[in-house]
Amino acid sequence: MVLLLGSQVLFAQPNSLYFMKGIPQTKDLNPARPGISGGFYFSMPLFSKLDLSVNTNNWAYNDLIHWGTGLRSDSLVIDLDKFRESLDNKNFIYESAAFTILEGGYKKGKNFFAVSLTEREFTSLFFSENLVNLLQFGNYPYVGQTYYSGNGGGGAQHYREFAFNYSRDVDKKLTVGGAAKILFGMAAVRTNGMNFKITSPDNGESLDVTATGRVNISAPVSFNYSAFGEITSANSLPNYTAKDYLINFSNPGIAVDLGFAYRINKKTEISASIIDLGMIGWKSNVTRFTEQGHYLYRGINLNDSRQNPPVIPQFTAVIDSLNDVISREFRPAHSEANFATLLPAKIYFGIDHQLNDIVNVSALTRIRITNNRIHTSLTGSANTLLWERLSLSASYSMMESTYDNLGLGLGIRAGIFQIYTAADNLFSPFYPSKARNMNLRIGINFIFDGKGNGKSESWLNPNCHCPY
Amino acid sequence: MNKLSKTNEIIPDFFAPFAYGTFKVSDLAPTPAPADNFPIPVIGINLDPVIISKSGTSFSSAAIDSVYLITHFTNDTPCDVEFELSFVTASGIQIGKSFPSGKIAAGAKDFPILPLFGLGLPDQNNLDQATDIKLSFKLISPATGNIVYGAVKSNQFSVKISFYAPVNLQRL
Repeated sequence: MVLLLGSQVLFAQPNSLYFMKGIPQTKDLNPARPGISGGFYFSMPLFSKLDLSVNTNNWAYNDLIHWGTGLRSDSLVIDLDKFRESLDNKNFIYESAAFTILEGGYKKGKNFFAVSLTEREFTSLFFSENLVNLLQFGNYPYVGQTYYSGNGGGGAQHYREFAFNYSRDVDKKLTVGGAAKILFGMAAVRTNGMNFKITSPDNGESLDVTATGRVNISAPVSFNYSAFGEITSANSLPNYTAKDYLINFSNPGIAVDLGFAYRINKKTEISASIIDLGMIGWKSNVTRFTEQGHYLYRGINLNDSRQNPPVIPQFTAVIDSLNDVISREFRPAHSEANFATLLPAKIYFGIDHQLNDIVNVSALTRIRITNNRIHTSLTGSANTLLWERLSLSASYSMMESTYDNLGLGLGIRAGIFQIYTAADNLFSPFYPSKARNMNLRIGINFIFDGKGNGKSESWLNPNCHCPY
Repeated sequence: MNKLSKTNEIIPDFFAPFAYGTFKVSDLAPTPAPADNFPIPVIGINLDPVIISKSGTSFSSAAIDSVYLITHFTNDTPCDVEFELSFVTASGIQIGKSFPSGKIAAGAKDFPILPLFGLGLPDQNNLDQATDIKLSFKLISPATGNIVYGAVKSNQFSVKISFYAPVNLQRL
């Protein structure tokens, strides 16, 4: 739970995938739900599956930049009023991509095994509404009070994942599963608690500025510093090649997935899982910047108390000196410190009910935690597998306070060949400037289970915990 | 980016303290200094100005059309004080208009000078052309009675100047 609560970022595969039928990769969302009832499969080498995801907390690019009206109808405008209206106190934008190079699985009897190799990256940026207020209104409205920026920052990671899945049908009702993941970090940037506050009294005689925060970096980058410790430049490491980057095994990590599926009766199954509970320890090419700056700025002293009568300084010299003082007060301390990052864990709760011989209806809750806030999404879906060849899922989701998420999952088999795709919001790709949630999964499998020819009856087998 | 060339303007008001100082009356006394028994006249006595050299420093920016000076004055003398800000050349010639405070009563603490000194584009140009900023002070005998210089010379007054300026971010 500590690991889960500490997760700073999130990424997600489409909820629509969870209950799709006949897709082996449903195990990615619940390791107890491998979408294969027997035989083996492997995915297209070098293009096994691709996950793309971008989401915000209910604000869109279009809220910030859109076409103007009247004299500006031929121009884009920056609309901070509209942007602020769409924001919460704490806000984020999150992007992720995962690319599975190779994956294969095998099910015999009650046991299912699978292995996969995936490259993953994600980037997050979070900021408070107060920061936008400062940009739009400046600090003058805060004279006589304290302005708090709120925590801002972000992070990015690229890591490699070797996953080993196992699930077992314990009895006719219960299937349990898990995945052990060995991780190798390639590069990471992560901020912690970056914020600042500005206090000024009613008479405006001073600005009391405090800034705190920490940035951890693991990347093939070297920083150069002045004699006072200020960063003067950043350069890539000499003689560090792309090969060095890709075979970097110095940042190990581990993660697990756990899940179960339990058939309450012949028609209804409940399931739950926790995905990506783990962390990566970053040791190679690490740099930590820590900021603990404070400066009380009162303006330029018009008289030098050491002299009588007062000596009035030249502005140029005073301003130069002030610049030096301020930059040194807010100079982050640097060190070479190892650090750890948590993976973005997710929890799923699902219920699936067989409505008739063709259609199942399902409900799914996904819980994610980012920036110490819980994000819950709800998805309802109808799922079917027709002629063992065509897997269809139609879904509706409520995500991050958005209610216009109509999703679709589609899988087509031709013999052993299968291609599938799923997305939680069908329309986002067509209107990206208005999108709050965009995700897409696409993958190609070769399945050797004796099905896909439309002759098997096993998909109606009530003892099978696979979702078809 | 060209499509953003006609975007609406974002003009936050940025504020910062500018300058502050505390001055003893005798340090600014005119030469020769008045005798201790010299009565401060009702029409006032001009003190030596405080001259701040600004050569090499530009106070103008394409992003700023106007600057507002916020001045607070503490008068720890038994006299009323008038304060005036102006821009001058090295030879002391004033450029453009001056900004007078009006009368600040004896004993006033952190007295806000209103209306604020608003520096429009012409005033900013004048400031750019000037070599110095001149702060002038005048001691005025209060209506309540005569005050002699000796009773004032050890007293002091202080001025705190801050400013805010609407900054057009698109023009930065």
